[in-house]
Amino acid sequence: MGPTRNRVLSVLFGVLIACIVPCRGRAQTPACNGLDAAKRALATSILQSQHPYDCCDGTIAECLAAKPVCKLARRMADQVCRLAGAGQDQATIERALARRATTMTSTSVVPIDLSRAERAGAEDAKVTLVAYVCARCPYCAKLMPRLHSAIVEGPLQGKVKAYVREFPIRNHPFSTEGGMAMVAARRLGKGWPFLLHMYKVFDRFDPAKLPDCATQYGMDRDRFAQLLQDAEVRRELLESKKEGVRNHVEATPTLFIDGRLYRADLDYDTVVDVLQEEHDRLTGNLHE
Amino acid sequence: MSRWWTILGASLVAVFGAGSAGAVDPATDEGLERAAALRARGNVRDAIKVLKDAVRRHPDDQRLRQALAMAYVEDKNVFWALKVLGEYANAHPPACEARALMAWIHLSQANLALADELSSVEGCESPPETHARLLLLRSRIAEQRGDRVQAADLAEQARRSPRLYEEDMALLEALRTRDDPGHLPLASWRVDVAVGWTSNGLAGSPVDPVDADEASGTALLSADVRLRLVVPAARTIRPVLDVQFRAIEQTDEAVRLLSYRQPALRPGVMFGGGLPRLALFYGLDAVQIEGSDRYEQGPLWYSEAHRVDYELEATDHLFAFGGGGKRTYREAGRTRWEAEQGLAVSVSLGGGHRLMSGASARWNRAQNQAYDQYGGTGIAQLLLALPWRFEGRLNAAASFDDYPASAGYFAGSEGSARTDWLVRVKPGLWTPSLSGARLGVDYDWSRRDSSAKAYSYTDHRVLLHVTWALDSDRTGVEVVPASGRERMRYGVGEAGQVGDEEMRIRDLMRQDESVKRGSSCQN
Repeated sequence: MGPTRNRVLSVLFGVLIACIVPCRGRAQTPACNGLDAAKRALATSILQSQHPYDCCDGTIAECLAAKPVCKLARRMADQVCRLAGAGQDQATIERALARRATTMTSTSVVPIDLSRAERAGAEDAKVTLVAYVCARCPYCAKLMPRLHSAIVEGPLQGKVKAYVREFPIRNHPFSTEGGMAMVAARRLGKGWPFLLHMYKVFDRFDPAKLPDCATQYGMDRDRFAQLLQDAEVRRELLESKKEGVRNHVEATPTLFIDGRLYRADLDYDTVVDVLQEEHDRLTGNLHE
Repeated sequence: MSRWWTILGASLVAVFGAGSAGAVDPATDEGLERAAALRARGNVRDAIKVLKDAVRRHPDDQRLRQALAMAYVEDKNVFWALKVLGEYANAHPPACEARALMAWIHLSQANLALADELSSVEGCESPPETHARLLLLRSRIAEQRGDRVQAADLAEQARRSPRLYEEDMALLEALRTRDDPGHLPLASWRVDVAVGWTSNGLAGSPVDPVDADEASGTALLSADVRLRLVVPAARTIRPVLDVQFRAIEQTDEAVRLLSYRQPALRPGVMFGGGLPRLALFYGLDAVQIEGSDRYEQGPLWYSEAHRVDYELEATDHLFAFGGGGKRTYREAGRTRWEAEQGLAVSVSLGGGHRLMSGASARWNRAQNQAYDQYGGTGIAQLLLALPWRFEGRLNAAASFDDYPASAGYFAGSEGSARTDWLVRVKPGLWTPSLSGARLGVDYDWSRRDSSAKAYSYTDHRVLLHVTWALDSDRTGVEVVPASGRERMRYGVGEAGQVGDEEMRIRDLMRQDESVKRGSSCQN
């Protein structure tokens, strides 16, 4: 009887441990709830080994279990589960976390001339986002309109202000014409709207139609057309690109958050999340 | 057991090292000490708690920050390591030490861009060891980027620094070994001066006296100076010159006349850019003894030899040597042709411990056939890495000599041919190397059992050594020891390890010569 009872107790104890141990490290965030068993196991493994880079120095899982909960831990858990849900493997997810951490812990702030740049978002927003973009960059055409929307009327409203710097990529057809149009529109006070327009008509972009399009945004057609040929505008475009090169911009879009090079994933969710994190950091709002 | 050694070592480093760094705050030292002990036990999380608390109370203490950062690195939490260093760097610009550590962490994460940013030397021109460290880091970054030319240039700039951290010097030497495996310093030397006492002054002399066990204790002074010059004439053929001077001076009147000096000169040629490497020498050596003989007042030249020798460094761990020639004594009957052949190997035992062993065989054909001789020696040296970077050395040697045509010739042989067995054991303790200098103490016990009873003896000898082994590559460079600060863990051995290895094998062979000398049958 004795050995049997011991065996039963051992099994019960094992079941208890098997339940408690994973529960402690289980991803405790909504993004993780929809994962299947394999992806959840992957996410849990990462959360139990990776650390947030601010506000809590335990593993992400430990930080989620601590009170008050470190908001960064929650954000990173969300990102882990998002990437796990997208089928990324452990190494890829850990590299993504490392790039995010590198962005946010970097102490290197580059000089960016925003004296003639046009702002989107509230003037008193704490976080400054600068994007080096090419008017003919396909991914910019996808990301920038969504970011703009998030800043002016979405989750980043009042938190982030954004500027663009022109960085025409030679391999992109009509990148110089697009860049000249960006500078010209900016000079006429319509930089953001016209950039968003060019991204909207990205697949049917025609440099010849740019002056006509300018009128849709309240710009004077002739003045706009004149600026497209203006040597000073060309010089300004060149200066912007040179500045980007000095700041190690190699591709578009390249983002800088408060002067620090953004190295994390460029998907919309991650960018917005990181910008919110930066706002939390600047306002000391680190815990839930 | 080794764990306790580690704990003791870590504690000693924390206690004494912190003191040597000039810390004045006992609370800071206490935190470092407790954390070091915890880290040594593998309890990194508790060490982090201790150090966080200490940093909270002393936020401007760079040593605490660095210790906390390294504890985080051990906990695989590099971002918090960077965070605690970054906070310090922001508050105390230019914070070159902290930036160097951050750069190293980024480099170890293959984050070259940030490592590059942080290893900027601007504002960090002094102290020179920090400047050199940043140059070295930049060299590593350039290497990672595939720019070997810039990497070599930056490493060379670092090498020219008048002061280097111990581990940085080790890294530079490892880089040189890798990039230029054939490189040898223009000059390398070893000076060993020892004072001590021997229970038997007869046992240490090149003269092998009768009634050797009639103990007469004496204080003694021993000196051994060796210099090797390698002329970098060409990569694969290089002229070499070995110069050596050995002396034993004994103070007791009964044995003072057995004091001797032995200068030696060996010009030669070295073949081979890397390994294997062969050196051929012509060797001239002579022995001068303090005493007199029937014909002349001392000191007098007792013997001289002209030899051809070779040394073959087959691998980093295998060393062969040999040679032969004619040795002329004052008494013609002992003059002989001699030859020998030996082999030495070095084996790493892990944990910084090493075993070196060697064996040699010898053959002498004398004018008086009673002195004809065959013999062999086996030697082993165990090097133990002790806490606080002390080193324990345990040497053991056994030697056998046979004089096949000496029946009835030697006193006490009772009509039979002489055979000698010599056993020697020598434990010793050595301090860490400081710019190539070490202090050491050893106890040397030796016993010879001879079939010619008058030649048997026992000797107890205690010597306090001061040694200085260095080379021209490291001359003029002040080494900053690791005690009292966080070492950079580049994954290479301690400074000078490679260079010392060869020296140690030569040391081992020197003992072989010493054993051989005791059987040389001169009287």
